[in-house]
Amino acid sequence: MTRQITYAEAINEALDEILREDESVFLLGEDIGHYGGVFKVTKGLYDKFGGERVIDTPISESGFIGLGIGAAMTGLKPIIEIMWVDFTLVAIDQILNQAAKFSYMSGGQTKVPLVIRTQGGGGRGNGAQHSQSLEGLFAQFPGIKVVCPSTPYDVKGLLKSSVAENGPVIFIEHKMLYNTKGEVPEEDYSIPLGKADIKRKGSDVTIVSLSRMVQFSLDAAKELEKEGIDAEIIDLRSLAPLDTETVIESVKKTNRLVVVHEAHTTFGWGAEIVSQVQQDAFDYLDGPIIRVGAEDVPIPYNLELEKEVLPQVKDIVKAVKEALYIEVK
Amino acid sequence: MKIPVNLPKMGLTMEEATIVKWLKQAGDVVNKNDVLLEVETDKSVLEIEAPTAGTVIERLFDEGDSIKVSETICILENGEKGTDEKTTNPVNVQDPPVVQEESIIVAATSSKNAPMYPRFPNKPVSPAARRKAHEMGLTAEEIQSIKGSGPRNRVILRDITSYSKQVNPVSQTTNVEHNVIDSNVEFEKLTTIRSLTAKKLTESFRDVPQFMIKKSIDVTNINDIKNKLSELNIKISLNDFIIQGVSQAIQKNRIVNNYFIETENEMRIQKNNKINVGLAVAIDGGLVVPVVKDADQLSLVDIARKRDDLIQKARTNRLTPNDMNEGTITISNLGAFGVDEFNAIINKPEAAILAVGSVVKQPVVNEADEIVVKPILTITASFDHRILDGAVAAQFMKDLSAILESKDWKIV
Repeated sequence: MTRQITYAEAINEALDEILREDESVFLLGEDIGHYGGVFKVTKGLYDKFGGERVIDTPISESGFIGLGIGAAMTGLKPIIEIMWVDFTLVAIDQILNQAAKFSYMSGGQTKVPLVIRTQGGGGRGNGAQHSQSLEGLFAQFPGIKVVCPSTPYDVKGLLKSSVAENGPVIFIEHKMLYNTKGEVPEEDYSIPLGKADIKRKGSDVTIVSLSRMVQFSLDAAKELEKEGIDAEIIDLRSLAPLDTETVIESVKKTNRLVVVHEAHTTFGWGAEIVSQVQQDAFDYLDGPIIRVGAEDVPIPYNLELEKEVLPQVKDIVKAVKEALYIEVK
Repeated sequence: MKIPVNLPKMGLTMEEATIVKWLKQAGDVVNKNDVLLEVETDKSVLEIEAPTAGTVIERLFDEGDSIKVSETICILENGEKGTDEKTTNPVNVQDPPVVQEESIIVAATSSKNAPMYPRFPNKPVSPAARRKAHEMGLTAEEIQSIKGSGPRNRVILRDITSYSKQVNPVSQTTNVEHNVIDSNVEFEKLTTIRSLTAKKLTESFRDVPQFMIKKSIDVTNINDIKNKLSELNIKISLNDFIIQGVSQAIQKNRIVNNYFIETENEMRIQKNNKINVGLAVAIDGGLVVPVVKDADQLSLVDIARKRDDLIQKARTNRLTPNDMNEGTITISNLGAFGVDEFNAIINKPEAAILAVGSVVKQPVVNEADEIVVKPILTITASFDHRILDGAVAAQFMKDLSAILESKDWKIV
């Protein structure tokens, strides 16, 4: 059996290997050095690679992302950690107006090989400013790739490809996944960006999700299996590039679709999936597509209330039954 | 603006048509309602008219080609500015003359390369179900008969697939190569009418348990009345007497007028109120069955006029679907060929068909035990045993025989 390590350990291992293999790579972020990061993702790297390659920054996201962009344009490959995805909002001009656009606006004369690692989502009772799922926001802007891994295996393989991408990538981890374990091989591997992964084969309904909601969907599939419903779970793994082909192929087989995301339902990226599927696979749909997302209120501190607001396994089970006309509204 | 002209649905069972003749060439300027082409369909030839004035810019099919319902046949340019072809609602020429409620609307779609599947305005059908039904070649009538299991009775995929399992239990594979005797054998594609006949009769022969009852009938009285009317220059044929006689025998035995209907999960009897008598007519390339409607309400003169009109239309391929639908019993008369007697295959979903032979002079023992010569007609009727049993059929034949031998006729 392949060894089992946590999601955080898998990222740490990827960073370790990348720093060793490529001298132009360096890490930048708040508390990532001595402290090893709030989620211990960069633990031990400062000791191994020193303060020139693992650099602690002040609380100035806009400033050090700007620094990273400049470094990237001049030949280095910075991997920046933004402690919470919510904090990218104070640096959004640097990310979306600068990093995402330089290559286009310079006619390809410059590249910005920058990876911004961050973490998002709820589940820890961290409150409205520390629990958001903003992947859809970034996916709205051309010029930056958006990656949201769901397993230790995926997070390592996708981080390797993101660093090799030669363009800006926002790499959104999930705070509730850091301690989840999974199989990760010892040998080197990478996973290409833009390829969705079918995490479970099924024939009755397609469930599309990413990040933490993949595990929720798998748990829902287990519940549904008891009732004889065979769900196919697709993990998009990235929103940009978006692998609609895998989704369409699956819908052509199952004729039913449920899209699950932790982001707020209204204007969430699920609507984009729904739109593309109805356009390209209209004649294969046997019923309306159902979306499962967070309620349209800021995420509460209170853990019980937070559960009410964020999608839970039971919500996915219910949505699938609705999509299959077992429960009709 | 480009206006696609699509093949309209012109009858309940119509799925496709064959182009008989193009009357307009590419480049021809046409007025609204000018006949563009003739198609052979559902046992008749029909004209497709221009839905608008304009120029024929492209013909998409040649004579002899088969076209599916709602497929585009040709494209007109009407010279008006408008959105391009993709977003134009295709125009279906000629409203279907028969069945409004089953009319089909072809949906406009903005999706590239997407085929257009028929929509059913008063029947909710999911997109996937519409696609599947189209692939399986289900007719609008068949889809209307399916009870949807989705919300608000929407027909969904599983309703269509379970319907198929009921209807098509027999696979249709026949290996043509096995039948080849020598390399000079020629093959001929079936005409629409031939393939329709083949399909319908195969279904009947396979699905309907049929039994036959034969009856010899003395037509002395019919001959007398016929001759007297002939002297008055009123031409009534034996068929007209049989049509009236059958409709009256049905009045006494309504069960013979019923249909046997099979749907996805039930079988049922449809009790028809009207008595509509079909008459099988041989034409070039096949068989058609025009229908004399409400035959029980009509006099012999009415029937003769109606029958004559229908046969003329049949011989010139001008029967409309309306002339051929809603029959409740069929008569097939091969008497003109000197056939003594024969059996016929039931015209589904009807309950019976009468096979009428020729009138032959025969020695008959009369009530006074004398041998006399009488004109005798032999009728063999086939019945659907699922609808009725032997005793009922025998009573019907007895009543029919009594009516045909009587002097009691509604002449005018």
